Amino acid sequence: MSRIKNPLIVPFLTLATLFAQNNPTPARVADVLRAEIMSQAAWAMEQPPATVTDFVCPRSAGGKHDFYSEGDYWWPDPDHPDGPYIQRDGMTNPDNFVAHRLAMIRFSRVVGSLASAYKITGDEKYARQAFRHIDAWFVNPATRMNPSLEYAQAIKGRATGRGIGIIDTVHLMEVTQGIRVMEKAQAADAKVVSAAKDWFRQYLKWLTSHQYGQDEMKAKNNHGTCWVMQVASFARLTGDHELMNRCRDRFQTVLLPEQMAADGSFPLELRRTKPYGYSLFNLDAMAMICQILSDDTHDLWDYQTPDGKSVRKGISFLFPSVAD
Amino acid sequence: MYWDEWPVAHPFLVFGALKLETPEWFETWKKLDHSPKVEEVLRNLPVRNPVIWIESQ
Repeated sequence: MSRIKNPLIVPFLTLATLFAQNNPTPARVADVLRAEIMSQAAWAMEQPPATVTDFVCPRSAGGKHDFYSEGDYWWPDPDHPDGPYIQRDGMTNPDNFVAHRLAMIRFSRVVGSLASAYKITGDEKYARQAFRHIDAWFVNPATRMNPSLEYAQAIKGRATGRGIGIIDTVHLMEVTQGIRVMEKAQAADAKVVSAAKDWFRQYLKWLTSHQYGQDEMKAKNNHGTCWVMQVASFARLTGDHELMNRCRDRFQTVLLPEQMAADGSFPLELRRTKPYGYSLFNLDAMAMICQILSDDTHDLWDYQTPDGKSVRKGISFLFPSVAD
Repeated sequence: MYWDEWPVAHPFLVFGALKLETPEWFETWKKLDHSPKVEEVLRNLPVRNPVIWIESQ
């Protein structure tokens, strides 16, 4: 420090060093999460695979390999016990079949935490265990799930499935990202990796061509955001650059312009009964779209619409209520 | 949908902090719940493992 002639430079250097220490980095993220990752991975190492074929619902119009779920707010009609269900908004029916959704969330937690542990330790045992689950869900003919979602959010007497049920497969996102992180591991089975990618190619074909997929893509609220988010995540795994570009375009020309107000809020979510939760959920989905689809030649994080809407603005709008 | 346990350690905070260099968002993210256990909270939080989504590490 004695070589510095100008005394004003010293406090400047000190401030710069302090700023660098506080700046978020990937290494600091890993440091914050390390203990939790190791604990979750220890849990995941003990879990045997369980897929849709382990749970059967007699009300499903699909087969043993089809994912099934039921509309959250639909109930038996007391005046017509055998007739179509009726809606009670905001009240979840506790007798609904949720086993497939819970199994998929569990699968997501298992693969996500094993991939995290593999990434920070390099220990092959985590990848080996993850691919047991991936094989059971996408490859093994006895236990695999069909690559479509025709029987989700069904309503007895009204619909065997609905497009809004597609939101359930957002839980396959950490599976696809886990595969990307672990596919080069020595413990990765190349045949399973290849078959899992085929599964997602088929599911993407369904999501982009079936009427339910079209309905969900066009949904004006968080459902439309989640369609883009999951399609982007699956398309990055399969290397479908054309579909990734379609998702970028949809974010820039539909999601931001039509869902965000000039102040960064989401008016369509604010109409809901619990606007705060839905707004945070929608903002997470938009941030994930930026995270998945930004690379050296595309920067969605810094993108703003001609009238100034951006993800930065959305985060700035909600941040005070989160920090509070 | 169920939001009583929110906010948690939201992905928009950590990824936004990294990309847009906002230490304040990062400090808030650090203090929030990183591993919620309530099923309905998990249902609404599909991204629970930030380290796998960060490309360069």
